[in-house]
Amino acid sequence: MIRDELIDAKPYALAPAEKDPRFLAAMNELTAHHVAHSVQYARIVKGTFGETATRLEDVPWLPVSLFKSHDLRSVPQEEVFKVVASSGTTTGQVSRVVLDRQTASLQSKVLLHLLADLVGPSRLPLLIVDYAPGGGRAINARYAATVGIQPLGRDTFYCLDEQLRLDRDGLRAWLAKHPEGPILVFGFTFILWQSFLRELADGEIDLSRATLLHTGGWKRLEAEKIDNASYKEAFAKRTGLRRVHNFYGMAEQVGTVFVECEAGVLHAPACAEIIVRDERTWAPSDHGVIQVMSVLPTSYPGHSLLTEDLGRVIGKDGCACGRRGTHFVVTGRAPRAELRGCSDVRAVP
Amino acid sequence: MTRALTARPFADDAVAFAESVSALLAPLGGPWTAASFFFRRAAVEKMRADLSPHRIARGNVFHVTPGNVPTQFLYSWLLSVLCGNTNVVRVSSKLGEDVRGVIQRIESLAKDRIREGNRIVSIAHDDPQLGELSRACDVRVLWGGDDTITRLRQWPLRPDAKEVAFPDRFSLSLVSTAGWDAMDDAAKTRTVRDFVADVWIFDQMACSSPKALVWVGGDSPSDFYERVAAELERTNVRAALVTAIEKMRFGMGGLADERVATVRRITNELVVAETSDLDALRGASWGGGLVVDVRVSSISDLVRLLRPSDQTLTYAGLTSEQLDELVAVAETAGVCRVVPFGRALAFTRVWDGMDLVEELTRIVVVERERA
Repeated sequence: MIRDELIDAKPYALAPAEKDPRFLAAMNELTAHHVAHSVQYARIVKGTFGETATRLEDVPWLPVSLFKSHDLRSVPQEEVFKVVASSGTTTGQVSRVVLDRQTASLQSKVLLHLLADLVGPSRLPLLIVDYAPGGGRAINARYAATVGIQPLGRDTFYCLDEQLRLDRDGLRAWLAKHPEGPILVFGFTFILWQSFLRELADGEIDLSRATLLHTGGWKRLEAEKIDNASYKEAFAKRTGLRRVHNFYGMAEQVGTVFVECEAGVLHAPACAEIIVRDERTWAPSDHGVIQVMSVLPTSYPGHSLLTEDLGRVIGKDGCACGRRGTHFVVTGRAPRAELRGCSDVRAVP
Repeated sequence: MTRALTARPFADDAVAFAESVSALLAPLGGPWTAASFFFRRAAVEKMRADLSPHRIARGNVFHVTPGNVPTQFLYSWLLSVLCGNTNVVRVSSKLGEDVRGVIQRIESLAKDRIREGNRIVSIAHDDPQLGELSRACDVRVLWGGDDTITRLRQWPLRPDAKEVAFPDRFSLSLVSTAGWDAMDDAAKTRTVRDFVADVWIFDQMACSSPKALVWVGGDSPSDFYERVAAELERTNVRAALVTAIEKMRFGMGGLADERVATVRRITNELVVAETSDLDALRGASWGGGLVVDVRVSSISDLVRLLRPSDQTLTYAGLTSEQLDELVAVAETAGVCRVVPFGRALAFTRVWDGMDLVEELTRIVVVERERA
């Protein structure tokens, strides 16, 4: 199958002329698969789109929020392996994404494949700025990520407790165990800021030999006027850490991540693509609403999703970092809006 | 507050106060100007003249008004002032600075008895003061939907007090296909302008904003929604991006569940979802410019679409015989209002089937000895 080629390909080696026809074919394959296996999805495709697209922008897409209101799946109940829930911090509503063993293992494999491409093949000591998984923790996207990332490193240490308090003594002891050589740090963007960086004094801990991977979105940092540049600056100043890579992804497409390169922009790997759409005409545009596409999901119809994130395409190819393919930046989120009216106020999710 | 501060309905000081508020609001535009018109001297004098004899004030009225229709508190409160009551008006803590400014200017117009007997408070929906205010009142007036009403009912009233509540309501529109087709261009323009005002002022979220449009006697004509989209464009109505996406979600979800048959995103502002089963959609909540399109073959078929809790039915393109038939159907079904296109949001003293002047006064029965 074409999607297997894209999954196994070197993530950033394909020129657009090689990738585009294959990716479109893979999307059409997936649309046909979900039409055949989800009657609900089939009704949506029939009612709004054509089943076979001749251009990537014509591939059917679903608003991510549809996974909050509807249980969309392309596998029978007995094949459900787990259900991943998004945190739903803004609206209180939670997305529920149904995984079978195949999609779940593909997601883990691709996540590691894409991040390993960035940090190299050797497994480094791994510091996770979160609390250790275990107990009856709900399987949300953060949990999935803090567990899913583990195989990337070795001797993992979780430096927060369940109240997200920093375990300074534990952290120092762990660093003392790995006195030299590169280390890897992983965490969620906001938690790293609030429970780690803000807790440390300048120079208290030296992480100049570390590489930081972080994800989870800027929503809560926007309120504090912290952008990517000031985030990096703060890490450099306080801990000496200079290799900082954000990655963009979502609970509805776990595994498919768009990693920030040395030039500071996000890259679509071979197995994924983005389209940025004008928010009024919905035609592809240089800036607007981000649609994410991934060849991974077979257990739920999430191969093509319209997010509520805003972004700008930097280029279709030719990033200074040497990676091929579409590169872009996320510029924010569609602002919340409350509909007026004399009924009880409802926030639109 | 005591009975001492109440007055006879439409006492001179209350009528003068309403007139001064009306003058203050007139130049402010939009819903303020509409409120100003409602309380203009001539309209108040008409209410005074229409009042039946031996009606007196109820006493102390506690109003709970919503945060998102800034002028709503005015209607409830000023009508009650005119009825001679003392009042405590709870306004939302979410009101904007501009609305607060207007409230302050209105308060500064109140003199003597009216100043002493009226209070506007801004407290949250879970503030325990709501309990004290509920115990102290003779009438509690609740605006703002099912959730608000349910929350407020945790605070008991005195046994001799009463409540007037305005819960969530569903409203819809009806057009005759033949009537539309027979309209000339000017009439179509007017009809569309009125429909846009009814639906898009208050983002289709007021209890009287039409949510569904019923076509009688044929498919919806192709030019209607095109004209609506053009009117929205002309009047610079803009849907927020999240609202536009939410309407897509609603439409696609409806397709998935087979609760809608087709979805057309005409613009971000206007999404049309056709259904043959309005009942199946009623449990869902939508707004912001999503018109549910329903067809019936005759007006009498409307009986099975309507429910007694429905509030406003707006109509266009009907002959007077058809309108008579519609009124009969609406009365059988129990709908609160049947009004032409363009009048959905026009507040009247009779709302949800209750005459507020009657609800906010009571009758003293007087029998005279025979001579």
